[in-house]
Amino acid sequence: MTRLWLAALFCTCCVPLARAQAPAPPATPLRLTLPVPTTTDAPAAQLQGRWTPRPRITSGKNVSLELRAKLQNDGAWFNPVVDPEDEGFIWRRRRLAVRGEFFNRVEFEVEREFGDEVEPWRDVWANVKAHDLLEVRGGKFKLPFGLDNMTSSVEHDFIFRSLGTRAIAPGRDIGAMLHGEAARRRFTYAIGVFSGDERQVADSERFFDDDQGADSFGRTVSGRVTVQPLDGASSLPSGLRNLEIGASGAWSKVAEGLNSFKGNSVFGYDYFERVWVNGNRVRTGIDVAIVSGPGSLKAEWINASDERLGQGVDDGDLSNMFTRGWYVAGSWLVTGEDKEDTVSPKRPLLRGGVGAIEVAARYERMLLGSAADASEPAFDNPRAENLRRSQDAVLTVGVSWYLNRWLKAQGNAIRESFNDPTRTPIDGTATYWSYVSRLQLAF
Amino acid sequence: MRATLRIGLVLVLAIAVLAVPAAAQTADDLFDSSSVQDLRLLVNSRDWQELKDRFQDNTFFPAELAWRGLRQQNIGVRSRGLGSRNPVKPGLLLRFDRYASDGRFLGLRTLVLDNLTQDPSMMKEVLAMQLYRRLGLPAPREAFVRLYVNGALIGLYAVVEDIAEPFLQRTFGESGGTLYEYDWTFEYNFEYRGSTLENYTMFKPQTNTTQSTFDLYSPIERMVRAANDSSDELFPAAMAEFLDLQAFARYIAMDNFVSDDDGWLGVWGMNNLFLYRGQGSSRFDIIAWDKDYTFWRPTNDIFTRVDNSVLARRALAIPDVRQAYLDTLAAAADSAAEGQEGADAATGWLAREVERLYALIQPLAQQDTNKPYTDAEFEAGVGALRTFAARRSAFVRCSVANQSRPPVACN
Repeated sequence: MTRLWLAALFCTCCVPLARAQAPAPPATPLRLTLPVPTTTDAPAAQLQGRWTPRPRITSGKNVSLELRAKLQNDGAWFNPVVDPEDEGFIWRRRRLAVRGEFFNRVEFEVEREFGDEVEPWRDVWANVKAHDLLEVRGGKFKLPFGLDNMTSSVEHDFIFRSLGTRAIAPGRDIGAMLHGEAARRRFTYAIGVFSGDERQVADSERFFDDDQGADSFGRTVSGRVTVQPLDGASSLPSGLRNLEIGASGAWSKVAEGLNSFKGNSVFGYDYFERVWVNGNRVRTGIDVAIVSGPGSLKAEWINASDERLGQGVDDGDLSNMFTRGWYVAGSWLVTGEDKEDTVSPKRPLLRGGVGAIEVAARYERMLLGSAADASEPAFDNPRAENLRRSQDAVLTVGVSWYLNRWLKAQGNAIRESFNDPTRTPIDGTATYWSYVSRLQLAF
Repeated sequence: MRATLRIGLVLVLAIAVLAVPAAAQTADDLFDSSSVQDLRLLVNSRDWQELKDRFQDNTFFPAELAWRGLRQQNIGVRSRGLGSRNPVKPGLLLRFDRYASDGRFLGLRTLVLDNLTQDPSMMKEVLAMQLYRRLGLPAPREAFVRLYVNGALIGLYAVVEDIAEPFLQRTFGESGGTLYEYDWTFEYNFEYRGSTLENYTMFKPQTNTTQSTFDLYSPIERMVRAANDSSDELFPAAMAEFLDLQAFARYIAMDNFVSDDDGWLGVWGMNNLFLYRGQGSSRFDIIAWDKDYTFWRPTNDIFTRVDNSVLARRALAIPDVRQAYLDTLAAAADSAAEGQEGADAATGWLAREVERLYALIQPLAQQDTNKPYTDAEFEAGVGALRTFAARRSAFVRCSVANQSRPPVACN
């Protein structure tokens, strides 16, 4: 928590620092009157406020502050029902954030989750931009890893991120990151060093909150690059020109213990227990995305490899444990809007239209096991050389209804199928259906 | 050429002969008490340390077992026991189905490694169970083992057949019923504790554990109620639904023959037993367990603490049940003295068995530096057993005879 406050303090301190380095603007009294006449001959600096797309006040081009909010209420129903308490409605996110920018050089964000009393602070960071190709960010924020992981929950085509992302991709952490872009985002990069997640691992609630990400343990180095290799190929169809390819990697050291990844179903039930690990944790991922007109196609593959040094019953080294996930997803705005991060209906509800409607489907698989010689017998025990593999295959079909640019309603039907009926939420039952709804207000 | 063929044939036969013992190992071989078995466990050194550090916990750790060339991977091991829990020489429970529901070793799901820390002679447990089985009472098979963990000798243990499905199948011919382990938590002597079923949870179900509280505990509550509330006249018929009273009499007679201070008629109330209610039956069978607190006094009264137990007191008030009790005592005395030559009590079965076991384990007991006793205490413990074996049969015979004659002094 102290570090968070230090980060916030850092944001505050950045303002005068940036002011000192930027051309001195005229002194401006901070009043909420528009416009504000000055007593000098210098150009008038004005405080301006506006409500759309979100509440925002600006002072010329040098200062802007805006209020952001995410409210998401989810409902869930199951067949078969594993635990009746899982059914019903809950608040998934109740967040308020303040985001600001100074002199086009310094940005900051402070975001709080009001449904989490243990770790309420989400993004608390400051960013200094030296050049398009070189920005520095410090504070607490998401580690650069994966396409799905970096997509905001507000803008996601589905109610839940993919299982691979939820299980493997590192979540928020405190650290520092270099990032930048070149050639109008044909190339982007981000690489950072993070202090590591020291929280207790056996907390399925955290897994289920797919905004938190997986555990890192200890210092983590994480990075991601994206390229749009066909952007300049004017002879290709526009859809292909938008092709973006991403690659991610993360390295950390995992302390000896039952600290491996585990197999969690969409709703947090175990299908692969944690095993003993010790050594390096290497996470890698590649992803592709094409966004064209009203449609999008995305695919991602993520793999994590955990060393198990000295973890055999004879104290010998065991083969690495792997956690692997991939998905293929597509979406289509049937009302014809362009697929953008924030979909704006051409004809919002109550303003002559029905809003925008998007259909989406995703197929994904998760597999956990170890890279052992297949001739070794496979066992479930957490020190087995050959860990008996367990797989979860999930099909999600969904519809999103954008009532206007702030309100969205989503419905997902999720079919989840396990390859090992002895390691399922209900012993012997391999297939589960879940029906999930979300109402979202975000600005 | 013929010589080569002959050599080849001999080699094939030799390999076949040598291969047979490894392939033919059975649970009977493991529980063969004529020799000391070597059991070798592999447990990650960190797990082994944690098991010892937290020996009061029931946390399982992965392990591998080796015995006579057989290697069993993927087993679970944890600390076990009540008073015998020990951080230096832990009592162990091996579960072969801990990580695979179909995991078995010699057909067994579980094995108990008794650390023998509550008995300086280290042989009461094995000796008592042999005697129970000689009298035809349900009791686990046992044998001595030298236990090695990660190559280091931990000490002399008794390998005990766990009371689980294979035991039930072998003993009762089926294992689909409900098995209860009596879990001592307070001094209890079969008094009625009211109709609240949760008051009987000291009878801890080991099978059919997913059944409802009513299905699990209602038969026990009704049995205890019948034992307490039925009139003397109706008592035999009321109990007949739940218990063969003659079998019950045989069980407590054996407890008293071996001078068990921690059995059904224990000093601290009833303890160390299992109840088994067969599939489709309302009757319970009693299974002996943990008999290392036995062989105390050769002149132990044959009705010791009978009056403490509601059930024992009322059952032995029925003439034919009492007779079964006395007959069992007499039979136990005969069995213990079997083969005795003349008046030399040291030649009876029990005395001979003490000597046989002593010869078997004495060098190993001395090597066992983790035992919580000195070598002198071990010798003294064996000496007390010799005395018990020499005197107990005569005393019991005399006491039983006194029930049908003017009493004489027994010693």
